[in-house]
Amino acid sequence: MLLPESVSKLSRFRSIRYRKYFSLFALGDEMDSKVVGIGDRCFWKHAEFRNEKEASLSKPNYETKRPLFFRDLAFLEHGAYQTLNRHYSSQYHTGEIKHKLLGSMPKFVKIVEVGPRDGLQNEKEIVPTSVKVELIKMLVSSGLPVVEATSFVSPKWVPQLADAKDVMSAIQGFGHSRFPVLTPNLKGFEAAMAAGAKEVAVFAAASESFSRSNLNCSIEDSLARYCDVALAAKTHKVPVRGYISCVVGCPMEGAVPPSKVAYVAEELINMGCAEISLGDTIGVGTPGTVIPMLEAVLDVVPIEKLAVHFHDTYGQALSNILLSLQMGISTVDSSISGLGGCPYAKGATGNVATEDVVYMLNGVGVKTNVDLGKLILAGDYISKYLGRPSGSKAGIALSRTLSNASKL
Amino acid sequence: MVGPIWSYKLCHFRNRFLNCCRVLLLCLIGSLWNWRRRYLATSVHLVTAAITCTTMSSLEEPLGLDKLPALSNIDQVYRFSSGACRPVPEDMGMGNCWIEGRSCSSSNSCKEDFGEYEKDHVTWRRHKRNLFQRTSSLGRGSVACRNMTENDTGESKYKLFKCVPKYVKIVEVGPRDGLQNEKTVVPTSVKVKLIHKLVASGLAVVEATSFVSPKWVPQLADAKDVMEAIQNLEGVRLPVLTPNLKGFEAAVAAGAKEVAVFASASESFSKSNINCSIEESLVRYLAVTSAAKKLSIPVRGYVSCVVGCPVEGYISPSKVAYVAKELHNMGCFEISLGDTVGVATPGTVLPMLDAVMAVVPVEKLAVHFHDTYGQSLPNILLSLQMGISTVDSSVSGLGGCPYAKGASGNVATEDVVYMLNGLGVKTNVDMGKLLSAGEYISQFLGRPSGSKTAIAISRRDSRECS
Repeated sequence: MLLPESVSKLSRFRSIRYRKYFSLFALGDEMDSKVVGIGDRCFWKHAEFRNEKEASLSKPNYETKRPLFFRDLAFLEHGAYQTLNRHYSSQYHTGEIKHKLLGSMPKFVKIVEVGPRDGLQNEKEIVPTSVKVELIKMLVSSGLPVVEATSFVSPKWVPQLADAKDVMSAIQGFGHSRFPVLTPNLKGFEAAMAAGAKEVAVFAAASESFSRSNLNCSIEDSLARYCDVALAAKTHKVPVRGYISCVVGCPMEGAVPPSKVAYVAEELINMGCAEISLGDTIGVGTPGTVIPMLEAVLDVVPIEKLAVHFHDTYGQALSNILLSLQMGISTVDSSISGLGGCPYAKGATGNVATEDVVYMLNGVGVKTNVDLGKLILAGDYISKYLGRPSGSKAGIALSRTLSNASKL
Repeated sequence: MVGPIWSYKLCHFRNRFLNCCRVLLLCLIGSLWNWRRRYLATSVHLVTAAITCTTMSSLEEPLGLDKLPALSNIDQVYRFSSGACRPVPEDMGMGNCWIEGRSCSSSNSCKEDFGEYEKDHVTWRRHKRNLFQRTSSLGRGSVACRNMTENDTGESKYKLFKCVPKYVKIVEVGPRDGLQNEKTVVPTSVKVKLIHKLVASGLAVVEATSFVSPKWVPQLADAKDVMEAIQNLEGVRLPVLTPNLKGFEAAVAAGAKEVAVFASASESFSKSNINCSIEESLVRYLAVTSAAKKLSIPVRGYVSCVVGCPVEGYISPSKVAYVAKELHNMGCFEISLGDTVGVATPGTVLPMLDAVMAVVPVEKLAVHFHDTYGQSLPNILLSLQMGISTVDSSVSGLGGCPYAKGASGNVATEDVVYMLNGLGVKTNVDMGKLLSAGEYISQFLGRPSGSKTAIAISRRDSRECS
């Protein structure tokens, strides 16, 4: 048993003055001064190499030095917790800082990238198929397990994704990622099957007014439609992902009661959805409103089937995501470079940026299997094409720091 | 058959006796944990023994760790006694808390404790999930979240928000930390108007300016004039930055009633930013704090680079704790922990706060996160969950990051207030007036607000009007 007072008493001895009495901590100190991190990589600081370029290129032979202590994991900076062999690990394995606030987090979080669909469908200009395909390629190569490729909605409603069939045929056989596509009805589902989709998604709303204005039908009608899609998907053995929008607030109705969200979630699970993604469409959620909503849904849906899809319109997405992780949710939707604005507040931001989410998850010690560097490259690519700065703060900061580092 | 019945009865009593012994032994260990409870030990043992005998498990169900009511009953007894202060039931290394209580630092008062128990008896419920998941076995009302109703499903949310303070003080650093990082030099009248607007929105503390040499910070060269213009503001504290005794004297002459000093947890950053080592800067601030003590002027201490340094990389929490302790010992009434380059994430903030909270009481701590990597709001949320109740922020996210050109700096006050309002935490800040202050300075600087909340609300309002 870790006696709380002895832990705090011990931590007192880690201060500078006591270093001479505890050689282990001195070793940690020695390592601190020898290593500097830039970006998410780590070089030896002193002149073991001729220049920084050589330092970054050569692989330091850490393995021959000595076994790793807890503190070695800690000094890899900028929130990226990597062991010196460059695979992600959490510092909490040592048990020294097993704090209750972060101890209940899942060890692995699946990131569902919705940029190519949810992001690009909200852009004013129509992005050509080749750019979309290149973007998806780069996202897959960064290690994202799920990338929502496109949507089989009528081009009358969403002209930005009219090239769905071409995108699907171009990405067949890409990497190991899954490519779900949005299918609002049976017709869209059949088109998706014909184009080679192996996973589909349906889109309900927790608010009646939003459903009527967005999908042109009531919640019940939309659920009936999706029942048909789910049945057809079952015969084709295709998994279905269910989205629920306006889980916290609706632009028309205001606050949405958690019971409504739980009702829609239960209906979607009963019709056979493999996963339910709870979307805060207008970004008004805060930890205080997200928790009752999640509690209500957790009563009817098992936690491993839940995903969270927060919008960063009011800057609250990352804190909501942290809270969801603390409650045990292990799937997060995000969009590269924060693509996709908010249609209800022109000029405001929409989806949370994948780079920011991955940065935070790396810092908390949660595995994502995503390479942040390659992700930033993908974000740079699409931002350059769209002719505007990235919507991701981590993306901007890291590309600035890296560009400064290369000038050294 | 007398034989087997006798042996069965003996076996049963023997097991009960052994269980009693085991529980008493554990009670003994439990009572030795907290030296403050020693004087209650004898009476508690008797009480606990009485309680455990009535709630013993049957022969079929061996006494498991998750079914020990005894220790929680100790807590109950302690809490109703006059000498009991808040227990410190941290994780006992088994992945769950035996004593489900508010596991915060010693700073919380006992009064809250009694309030918790007066309105509800402690209901004990069997663990529904396994031991390694963080569920509370004891349903309790929380005083933290006001916009939630008390119900059975409220366990986990109360567990996460147990230590969140009821009131958070927001320290507005925009006029100083924000404007000093701007390229354009803002005229005195604009600064003064901004400060007036911020004060009108209800902010309790607004950092007005800085008495640093104009050679280093030309943007704040008009410190004396700003101080003169804001002398008549009442009901608000207006600290000023004073890097040395000379600056302190100038501040006092200009009418400052509160000062701030600025140390660094990183040696290289200290040398590059204030041109001296950490020890030298602490010596300087000792002079400032002694002078301030003589004049009864409170001093706020800043520690920069508490998680990462642009030169050294990761900063170990013990260094931060050392500097924070030194500042606290020399008389600073508040220590603001600043993540200067914005690289902190909840995973690095937690050990840093743990280390500092071990040496400085939590009510004297403030957090000052930068939003350079977009991580400030989750960091602030985590700090609140750990019991911090003062947050520094800057209106409209003023003040970029000098180490990543073009990247953002301070977290925006509007975003912080939005989150705190959503959490049900009191701030006494009027969001509407705050937004107008942010709009004013953004318009002057000729660029959009750095606050997403401000942009969203203004766009939403303009859409409603059109």
